[in-house]
Amino acid sequence: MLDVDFATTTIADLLRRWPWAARVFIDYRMKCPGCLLAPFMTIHDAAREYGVDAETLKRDVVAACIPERER
Amino acid sequence: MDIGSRTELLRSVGLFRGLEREDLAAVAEAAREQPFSRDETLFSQGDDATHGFVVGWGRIRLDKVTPEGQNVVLRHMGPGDMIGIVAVLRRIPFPATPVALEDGLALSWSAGRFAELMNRFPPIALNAIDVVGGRVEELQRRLQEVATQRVEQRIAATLLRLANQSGRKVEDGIEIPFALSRQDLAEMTATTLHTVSRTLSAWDSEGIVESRRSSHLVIRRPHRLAEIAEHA
Repeated sequence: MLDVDFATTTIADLLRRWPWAARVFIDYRMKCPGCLLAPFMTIHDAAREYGVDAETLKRDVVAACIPERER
Repeated sequence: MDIGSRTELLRSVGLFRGLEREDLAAVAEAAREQPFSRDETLFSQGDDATHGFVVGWGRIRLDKVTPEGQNVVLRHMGPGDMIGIVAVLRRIPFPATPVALEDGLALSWSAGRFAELMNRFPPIALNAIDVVGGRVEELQRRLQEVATQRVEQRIAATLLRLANQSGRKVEDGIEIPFALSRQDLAEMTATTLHTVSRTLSAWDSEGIVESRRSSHLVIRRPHRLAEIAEHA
């Protein structure tokens, strides 16, 4: 399991720790990677703004963050 | 999805407002269910509008490709939202492509079935005028934004940079924790004090930013401000 608290972790922190997770946001057509306000938003904030299901998004982010051998 | 849950869903759809329960049930019964999986498209921009849809569950993104080949996201849609119905009513090709963001289910009616339902239940025709009128209003609003956007965009972008460098997370948004006058902003964005004032007042009334004590600005709707900086 990924060691991250989605309720408090900002998207900027998330992407700093797992840069390749940016791919997931891009797939969702979300502009969080590169956004100047990413240091202030959690994944829940972003999901709400884009009308995306937060649970599905988190599942996809987690899947992208865990290296292949640990899945 | 049984007729009961279909009827319940249709109750929240603008096009069917004012229909009695048994009429709604008739409309629900006339529908065909169309499951969709993630990344699937319900139809493609330019296709003949043979069917209109209402989303049952799942989320959908409406994409439009410009003649230059650029993809524009028109809107996101979820349960109860109508897709392609204006095109069906106007007998024009679908103007955009709905792409599923997750697995879901839509209800659909053929163009012929729609015409039939409208004849049988006149409120549908009246509601259709309302729906189309609403879309016109939305377009007028967007047109106005496009006509006035460039300065707004610069001001928004400046606020984003300031927030990124110095912003502080507060309960209801992001605070720029120092006095920032409208004159300062005018100079930073190469515009007039008048324009900055007008823009900030408009944003204030839309709840996007708020001027606090000692001219501290609070960004109340960060996502919206980022959107303004980027395009809208």
